[in-house]
Amino acid sequence: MLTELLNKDTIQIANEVDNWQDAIRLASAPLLQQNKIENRYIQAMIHSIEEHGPYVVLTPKVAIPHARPTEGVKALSMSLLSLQKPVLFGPDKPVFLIFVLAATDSESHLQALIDLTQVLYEPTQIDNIIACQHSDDILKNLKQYSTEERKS
Amino acid sequence: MKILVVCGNGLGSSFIMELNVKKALTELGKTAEVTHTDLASAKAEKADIYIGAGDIVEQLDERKGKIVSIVNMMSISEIRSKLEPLF
Repeated sequence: MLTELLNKDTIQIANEVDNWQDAIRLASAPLLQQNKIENRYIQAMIHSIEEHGPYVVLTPKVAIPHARPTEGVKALSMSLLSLQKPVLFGPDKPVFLIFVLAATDSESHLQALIDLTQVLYEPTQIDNIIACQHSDDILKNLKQYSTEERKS
Repeated sequence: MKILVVCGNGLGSSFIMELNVKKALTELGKTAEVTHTDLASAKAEKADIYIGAGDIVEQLDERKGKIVSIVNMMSISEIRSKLEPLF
């Protein structure tokens, strides 16, 4: 399921960004373009971190910004921004990979998240993804962790 | 024993951490009721242990239960070592 949400249209690689807010805006751009989220969802993700701190940095180098389904999500979607130079989400929270999560309810996104956790258990796998220069290479890395979508 | 995993929105990070807390408990050979929720709901819900990112759980009243602050939410070993003394 992970690679159904993350594909060449939703994975971006950039050299660097000025700050974590810009990282979230840039990472979200494909979802905004595809009409999967509204602009206010981006604001909600930024506001959530301003309010609660950088808790979206789940593990070193990786952030999974997200807000609530009611804050402007039109369709279940994810995007990834990989940065060559890290951006600080907090004083000691440098981040290279930003996975934007847009969920429409509290259930449908869970398989993709479970897939993603399998990637993030391995610090070397995180470094492998950061080292990728093309989104195709990132996809190859992610594919081995993606489960088939369950058809019920 | 009830463990509540807390994040800002109760959707993403707390769900991932719930999986990791369950793995840590299995490794410890302990059982507990584990659920996840957002910070606002956590303030109104009773649990024995509240666990989450430091930024989040530090906003909870420590008189409600034990508060466990996690730095690396993907580290089963960190979660395990911080939960072990509480059982």
